[in-house]
Amino acid sequence: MKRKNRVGRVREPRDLLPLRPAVLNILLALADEERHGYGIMREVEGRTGGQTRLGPGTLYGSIKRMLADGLIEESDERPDPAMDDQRRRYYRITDFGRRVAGAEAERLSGLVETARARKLLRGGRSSLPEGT
Amino acid sequence: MSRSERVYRVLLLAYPREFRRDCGTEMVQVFGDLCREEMRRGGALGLVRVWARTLPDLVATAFAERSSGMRDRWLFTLVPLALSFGLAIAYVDSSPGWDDTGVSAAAVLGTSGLFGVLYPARPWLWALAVGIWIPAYGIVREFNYASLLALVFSFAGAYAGAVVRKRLVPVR
Repeated sequence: MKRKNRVGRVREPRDLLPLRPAVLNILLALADEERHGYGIMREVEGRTGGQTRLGPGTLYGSIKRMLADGLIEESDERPDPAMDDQRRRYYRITDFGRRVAGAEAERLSGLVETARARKLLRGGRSSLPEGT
Repeated sequence: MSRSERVYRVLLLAYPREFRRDCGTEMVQVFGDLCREEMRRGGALGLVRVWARTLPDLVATAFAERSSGMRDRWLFTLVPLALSFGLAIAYVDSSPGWDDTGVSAAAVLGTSGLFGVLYPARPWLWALAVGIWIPAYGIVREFNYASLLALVFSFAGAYAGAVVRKRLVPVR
């Protein structure tokens, strides 16, 4: 499904690229299941080995804009009974959000291919000296 | 609610009211979850770590949200201003002694361009706000459909201004 912006123009996923790292991480966190804010935060931290930690301000600032852009939507379901709380809002990725995340992943994949072709990557590891 | 959560809730005043209304409760809730988790893992040091990473995030994002609100206010200030300039140009252009159409066209072009530079995100808005008055007056009073040409100048000016601004200061 194509989305329209505020003046009615049909938006394509590439209109939103490049995504901010926080937005891409949130889309990745919601790609496999619905989560609440803290669940998103934990998933991102766990998946990146603690390298990316979203603060509450970054998380909810991003969520607010992603809701407005139609990348995610609120869910009525309560998938995490252990932490269920009526005040918690759960979020899920939309079809448009999936397409935007896919387009961003392809864009990044192209960059990685370029880096590999220019011998900046060797066997999946950076050729930069250690500690840089 | 812990003391840290209460302090954090007060610090949320740094964000615009609308943002606090939409996200404040959840942000306090998530911050509380973080505090409990880190306290369980590392005791008081864990709590210090939570604050050490939350405070810079709060300052940066509160500033970003306030700036975004400022942009909206800037827009609401500029719209009446553009309408007023457009009306003033149409008033002068329609006065009985005025016959210098070139100056009117240049005024519409220049004024629309100025607004395009000031707020490049919506050039069509400036083109209409500045350029609609001459044709409105010309058509209603004198059935002068040629006055619609003023819109060509206003659109050209506004879009040229937006392009100049985007070249000078790239907008992400």
